[in-house]
Amino acid sequence: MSEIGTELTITPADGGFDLVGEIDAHTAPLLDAQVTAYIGDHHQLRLGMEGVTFMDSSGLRVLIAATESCRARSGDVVLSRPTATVVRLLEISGLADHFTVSAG
Amino acid sequence: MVCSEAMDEEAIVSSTADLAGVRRDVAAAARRALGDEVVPDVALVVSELITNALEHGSGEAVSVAYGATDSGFELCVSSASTGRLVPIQATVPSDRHRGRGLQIVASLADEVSIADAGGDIAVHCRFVRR
Repeated sequence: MSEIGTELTITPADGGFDLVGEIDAHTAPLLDAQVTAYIGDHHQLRLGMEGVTFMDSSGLRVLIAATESCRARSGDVVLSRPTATVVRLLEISGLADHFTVSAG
Repeated sequence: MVCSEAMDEEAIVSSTADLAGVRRDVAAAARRALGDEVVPDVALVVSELITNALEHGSGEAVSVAYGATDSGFELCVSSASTGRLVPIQATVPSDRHRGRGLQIVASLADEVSIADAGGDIAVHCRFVRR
């Protein structure tokens, strides 16, 4: 059995965090805590998604809440280089147009 | 237990810490049955169903039964429930934070059925060989 943190690595990066690993009901609270603390001081957040090998609706919930919070203050959350598995989840959920996605 | 006894393999999940391991085991079985293409969908479906069962269940362990069949791959997640069946919605508004999991399941599995047997809720999904 994995401990929290071994499945998802959250590294501070320019404008936010780089994420590596899996985002599910076990790791989403860790991501939520980091993101919530960050956007307490910032209205713009960049999440490097290139290393995310799995994400389910637990992760979507974190992204939706963070996006709403930033947009309410005229900022945004940018999902940078999401993997095919994340893009597919956004499409299945009907949220592909809801998020700001960046190729850089 | 309301899941069919015909499935080859079973896992017991007692907390979200078990999610990643079970997801990998079920995805590996699906790969053996149906090939690589189905792996992301099966991983997502099993993750959503277990998470849902842990969130809405009575706190008891969640049972996951799965295995290859003649027509494809089947998966059944069962738990003692708090008794409220959550309807599957075709679309969930983007401002809603919950209720999205079963919508994802319904859009990925070829067949989904929900059974309620004396307080035990089982969600059964089928992935058909193409």
